[in-house]
This record gives sequence, C-alpha cells and structure tokens, in this order.
Amino acid sequence: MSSSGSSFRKRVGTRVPFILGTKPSIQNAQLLTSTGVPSLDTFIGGGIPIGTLFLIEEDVYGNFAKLLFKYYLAEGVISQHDLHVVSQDVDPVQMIEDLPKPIEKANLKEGSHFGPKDQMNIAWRYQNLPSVQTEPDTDFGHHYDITQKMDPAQMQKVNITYWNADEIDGTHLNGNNAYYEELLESIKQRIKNGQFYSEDSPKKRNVLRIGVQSLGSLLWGRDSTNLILFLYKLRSLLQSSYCICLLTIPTHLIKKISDVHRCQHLCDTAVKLESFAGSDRETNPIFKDYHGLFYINKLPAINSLCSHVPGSFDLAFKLRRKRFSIEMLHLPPELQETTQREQDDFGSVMLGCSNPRSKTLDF
Amino acid sequence: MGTPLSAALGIDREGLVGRFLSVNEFHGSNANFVIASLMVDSLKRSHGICLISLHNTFGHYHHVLTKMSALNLCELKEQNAQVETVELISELREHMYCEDECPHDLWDKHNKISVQQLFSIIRDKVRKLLVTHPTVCVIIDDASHFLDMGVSLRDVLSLLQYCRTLLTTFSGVSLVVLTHVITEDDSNLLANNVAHVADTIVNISVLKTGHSSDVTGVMEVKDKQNNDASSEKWNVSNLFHFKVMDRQVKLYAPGTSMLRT
Repeated sequence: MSSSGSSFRKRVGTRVPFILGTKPSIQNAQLLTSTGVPSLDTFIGGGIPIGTLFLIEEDVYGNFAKLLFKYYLAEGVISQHDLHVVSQDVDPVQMIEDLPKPIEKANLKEGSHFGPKDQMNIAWRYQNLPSVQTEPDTDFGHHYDITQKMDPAQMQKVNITYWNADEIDGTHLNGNNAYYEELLESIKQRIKNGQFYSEDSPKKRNVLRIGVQSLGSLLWGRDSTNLILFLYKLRSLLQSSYCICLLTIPTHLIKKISDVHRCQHLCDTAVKLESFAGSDRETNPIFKDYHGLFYINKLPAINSLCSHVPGSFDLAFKLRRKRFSIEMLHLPPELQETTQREQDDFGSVMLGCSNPRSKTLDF
Repeated sequence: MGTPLSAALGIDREGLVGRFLSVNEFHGSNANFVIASLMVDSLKRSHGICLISLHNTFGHYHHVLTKMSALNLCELKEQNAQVETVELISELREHMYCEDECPHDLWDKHNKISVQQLFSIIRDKVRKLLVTHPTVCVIIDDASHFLDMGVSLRDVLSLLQYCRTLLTTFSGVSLVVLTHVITEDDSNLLANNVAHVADTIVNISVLKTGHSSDVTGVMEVKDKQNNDASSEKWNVSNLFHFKVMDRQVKLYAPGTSMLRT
C-alpha cells in the first residue's frame, strides 16, 4: 500500500514545547518534571506536573525533608531550569552551594545495593530468577551523591534568585503577614520578568522551579490564616504558567489539624515524611532496612477525572550515600528463631516472678 | 438520556431545573466527577451553564468534558454562548498583576473579594444565558475557597443565599454548590448551612477502611424534595460506591462492584 494513497497525515510539530528535564505525561499529556528522586517520580505518576504545587510535610527534625529539597534544587540545576530559592530558616545561598553532586549512570550501577549473586548449590533452580524489585526503575531524573558537592561551574549556567526575610519588618500590614506578602510579590515579579506564563512568548522556553523551605515555621508568624491565603494566591499565580513550586511545611508545628488539611487541599500533590529518628521504630528489626515511612496524601488530577494510582501506598524511604530511594514497604524474611519464639518455649515452665534462664526468683 | 450519576441523583427524567444541589466533598476525596457529570447532563439537554470556578482552570473542565463526552467546552463558550464562566482563580492572578487599571472592581486594593459585586456578575451572566436558553445551571466549584480568600463565613452564606434567590427570580435556573469539607473547620459549618437549604445533598467521601482497586469512594445521596411523609422513600439516603476512571464513572450498590466487573 503506497503512502500517497492514504489519508493519514503525520502530525507535524507538537503543542508541548521541548524543555530540558521535562517529559509529557502518558496519561494526560501534561508536562512533567523530575523531583530529583527518580523513585518518587514513579510513585507520583511520572513527576511533578508543570504549573502545580508540591507539598512535603516535614519529618520531626526536618533532616530528610531538607534533603529532598536539595535534590529538587539540584535536579533544577542539572536540567538548567531557573531557580527561585526561599528560606527563612537557613541561608538560601549556602543551601545552593551545598547541593549534592549528580552521579553518572554507569557509576550508579557499580554502587548498586544489589551485590553480586552468590552461587546457589542446593536451590540452583532459583539462581536466574529476578530478585524482588521494590524500587521502580526509570531513566527520568538523576541520583545524587550527598558526600560530594556540585561543581560551582554548573551552577553558574543557571539563573538562580534568592529570597530571605532579612530586610523585612515582620509587622503586620493590613491584617496580612508582611513575609507572605513580600514573598508573593517576589514570586510574581520573577514569573513576570522571566516570561514564564503560557501566553508569553520568550526566545527560549524554560521552567521556573520555586523552592520554599520550612514555610509556616515559627519565623513566618503564628497565624495559619495568612499561610492559607498565601497558598491560594500562589496557586492562582502558578496555574497557566511554566513554574512548579515545592514547599516543605513543618506540619507538626501547626496547631490545628484542619489547617494542615486545608494546606493539602490547596496543593496539587501532598506527601509526608515520617522519620524513625528518635522513635521506637529506629531499633525495631522490622524496619531495619529503612529510615522512615513515606505517605502519599494527595496526587494531582490535572485535566483528568482521576489521579494516578501508585502500586502501593505502603511506602518507606532509605538513604544511602549515593541514593535516596522510596520503596514499597516489605517486612524482612523470618530467617532465624526470634526472641519471641524463645519466650514461647520457656513460657510453659516460667514462674510468676522468675527469670526463665536462671531458675531463681528475681527478688 | 442521562448519565448513571443523574439517574442516581433522580434528575435523569426532568433534569436539574429549579433545584438546589449541595455537593459535599469530604477531605481526601474528589467530587470533580459530580460537577463534570452534571455539566455533561446539562449541556446534552441544551441547558446553559454559568460556571464559577475557584479551584480549577477552565482548561481543566474542557479537557475532562472532552474525554467524558466529546463535548468541546471552548466551542460551546465562544461560538454557541451556552457556557458563561467566572474564573475567580484566574481573575485573582490578573488582579494581582494590574497595579492601577483593573477590569472591574471585584477585588479591593488588598485583594479582598466583594461578594456583592460577584453576585451582580453572576446575575448578569444568568440573565444573558436565559435570553438564548430556557434553563440555566449555576455551578460554584468550590465554595470553601471563599474562606481561604479571607471572606467571612457570614459573607459567603449571604452570597449563596443571594444565588439561591435566582431560583425564584428566574424560572428555569438551578444551583449546584460544591464545598470541600474539613471537620473542625469553618468549611464544615458552611457545608451544613448549604445542605440545610438544599433540595438534594450529595456527600462524597473516601472508603473509611483504606484503598481499594475496585472502588474509589462512597457517594451518599439525600433527596429532600421527596418529602411526602407517607412515601417509603421519605428521608431515605441512598448509598453508592463509585469507581472513577479517566473517561467515565461507574456506580455500584455497596458490595456489588466485584460482581459487575
């Protein structure tokens, strides 16, 4: 069949512009960009949709949320996206200087946690079976080595702006918190000057990554009403723009749980980190492979009725030197007799106040 | 003619005309499919739609309706004049950028919305739609964002009460109000007040016991118009399980989702 006789015409050109570090969603053609953690991208449906708000509810000490925040910024630098870094708790300039170094794909495989397979002598039939893959495999996004800093020359290629509240008087203006008003103004001007709206026609289309660290902490004032108003206005600014915003909020510092839920509703994606640090779970053998639990509270439904449904909602995260990964939570196999089993065995001969091993009374 | 959802709401025969529908979206759930289904139902009946959007962009509704029913919402708005919109979330952005000259005085200089002005805009749009269409459906999605914008609960309730008067001022007008409900929040009080005066109440919530691959959530429908005390259906709430897919919504009686798929 000759092609000239067919009425089929290949569609020339696409409405989705090509921007480095982005890809169209297979579900709704929405442009996606990476969070900086490839496994997280997979669980939230491929990445962060452009024009949306991404909320991370911080862990109690904020260490892992800070790390995710750095990965997000580092991914922006590697993808040569514009950055707008906001923080009152730490110096945003220092944070950019401390960004982790990306790992080459080849080096990553060498450092993989799946070590060389042992030769199986008895259960040899299982030798070539693939191991259980708890972490999804993807080519989108990069992994980063937290022990090494990113090359400063790489950062100079990117347009980075900073915002901290050093020069702002925290007094209230017209009932609104001055910090939120000033931050909103800076984001507004950044979007406008960079021509990031869809109706703008810049020479080269790019993405603006806005990162706000520890929003709503004590340094931002105690009133959650201003935070909610700020989020609604930010949502209105980001819609129909080539911008994404990642916010980390220490929700455990917010008094009313209803305000936390309101923040989740105003953001398009909401996830929560629960670190084991300082809790009983840190020493629990069940969770020995992980550093904390990862909750997906909300996923975006952009241009669609339903949102992406991940394979599992029981997720945990672990941090290694060259990889921060989010995996499906699996309990470790029962390979040896546990303390529980020993107690069960001694249970039948145990007296009321005696130690089963010594056979003498404790008092 | 109607969708499965309109049958569940009891509007498959006569449509939504003259009714006040309250849609309560409990936190964790998404009632967007109710709004989309009602829009499809109204447009297929050649009713006019006045959409006041506070959560999503017009583009979102356009894409959803294109997938659900191949209706081109942009065309219906621009060419057929069947759809009128007040995109408050987009207009807030425009207002934030305009420093001196603003298109209309919907917001004051502190970005506080004027509910009186908003109502007069809605009324004018309804009046305009009624010239070409005998029936008009006013949809507010989602009313809880008025509270986020700093409007007091009293003012939001006044606005909704004024919108309710449209049902009696003009014949052939219906009103749908979606509220995202968060317990221990003013939105809960708002939803209760709206439900108190609504003819039909639709509660959308997630499954209490967790996630399911067969069921997205629970829909409870209370029809207060069927108020004949002698009827068996008096004050009865109907419970459905629903599964939302990209292009359609499936409704099931509780426990039957596995049987039908």
